[in-house]
Amino acid sequence: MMGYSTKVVATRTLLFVAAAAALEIVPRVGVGTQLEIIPFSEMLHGVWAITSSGELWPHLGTSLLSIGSAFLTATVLGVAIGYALWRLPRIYAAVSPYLVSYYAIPIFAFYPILVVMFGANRIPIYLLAAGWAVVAVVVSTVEGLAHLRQSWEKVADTYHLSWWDRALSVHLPAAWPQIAMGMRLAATYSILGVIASEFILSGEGLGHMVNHHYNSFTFREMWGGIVTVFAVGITLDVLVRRMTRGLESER
Amino acid sequence: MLIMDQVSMRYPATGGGAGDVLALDRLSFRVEQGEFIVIIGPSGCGKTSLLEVIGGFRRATGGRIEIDGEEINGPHQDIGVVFQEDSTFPWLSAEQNIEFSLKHRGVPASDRPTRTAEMVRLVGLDGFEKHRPSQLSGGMRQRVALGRALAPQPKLLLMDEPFGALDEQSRLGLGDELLRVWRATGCTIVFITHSLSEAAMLADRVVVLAARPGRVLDIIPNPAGAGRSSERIGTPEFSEMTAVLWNLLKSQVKCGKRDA
Repeated sequence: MMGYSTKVVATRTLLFVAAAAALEIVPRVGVGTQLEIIPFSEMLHGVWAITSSGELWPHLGTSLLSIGSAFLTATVLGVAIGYALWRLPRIYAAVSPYLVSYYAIPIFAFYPILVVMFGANRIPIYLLAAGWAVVAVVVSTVEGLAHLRQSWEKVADTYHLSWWDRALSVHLPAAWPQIAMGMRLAATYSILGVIASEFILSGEGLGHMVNHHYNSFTFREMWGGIVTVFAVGITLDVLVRRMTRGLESER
Repeated sequence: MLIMDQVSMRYPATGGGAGDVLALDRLSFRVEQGEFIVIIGPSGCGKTSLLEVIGGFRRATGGRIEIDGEEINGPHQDIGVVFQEDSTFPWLSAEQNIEFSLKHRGVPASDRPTRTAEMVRLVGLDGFEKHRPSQLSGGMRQRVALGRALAPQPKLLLMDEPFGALDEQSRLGLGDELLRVWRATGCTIVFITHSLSEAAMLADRVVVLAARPGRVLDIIPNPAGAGRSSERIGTPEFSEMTAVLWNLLKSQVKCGKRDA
């Protein structure tokens, strides 16, 4: 009899196979033109084409570096800001509406301003992605800390824990499940922030590569790039999930 | 060992209400080294306030509290506390929870594993060292909390209705375990409860508090003597003790209801 996790993996695989089959069949039965969608096997050929030609690697490396930097910055800064806001409840109450409505702001509108300020290089991309991802970690950190048990605080009092020891030994471990959820969201926002910015204005990165093939009407390579972005997203999510679970079991 | 001298606790009025609330009124009693003292009183008599001022979580607004001649003005390193609610850290295993207190009391890392293992054995957690609190029953979690409080060998152990959330059978079982641990360590215990049978089973002496404000109504020595345990529940001494306590508390419970 299948266990719960085996069933989850089996369902996930089944969904993927079903989506791939649909993507394979739909274009072949004449739904959409080649300008719109190509069969899944052609997309995989596109992945092979950009991989074997060597075109993918520098773009992938550049994007991964920006995604990783944005994710790490968002995590460290988000936990620190979230912790500070939790310790300053009046300030948190004041900024809370802005944090909640943050993701309604079209942040990419600021990209041209950042380009003017920092130039057409990786800095605006990194700032945009980190700035977009950080709020997810801030909100999840405050949310996690808001549910601390009073008895844990009393235990910390009993042992005269300094604020630093208290944060590291009690507060952050207690809030960890919510922080981990924020980190997963931050990973997604980092990917989206980097790829979308590269798509808008950049000379390198996966987003630029997809945009370049789109403008060049080389749709097979364009779809190859999109499939690669999809794979990067899934891989990063799995990595973050494993990492946060690893820390959970170490505690 | 512990001296409570005219200790009062007054809370300021909240929410714009008029008048302060006097929770403890000039409370005085002494606890000797190695003694097991139970504090009992009706609901709202200030039992938890009393524990909080002895534990240093709150400063008494009047009087003086001393441990071995040293005045208590805040959490003290010679005091361990077991709380009523579950205070174990769910992200740590049972033995890591116990080791937590050793680490933060400055016990060298090299000594911690041995002392943790001793404490695991003492509180009866053998075989459950690696379990997380979520994998343990309420009673087992309180054993972890007891082990954590006892591991740094405090001079005084405060227990705030530690078995209050447990069923009667578990309470009796853990009461026996606590007596065994107390006899093995010789530590001084101040145990707060609202249960007459728990008081009669555990205490050397019972400090009975009056209702609102909390003040010492009487201090009753336990006739059951040193060999007391849950097996003595049906004995005449046990019945006598619970009857004495109930007779003292009966009028106070009525007072408490009237005030409420």
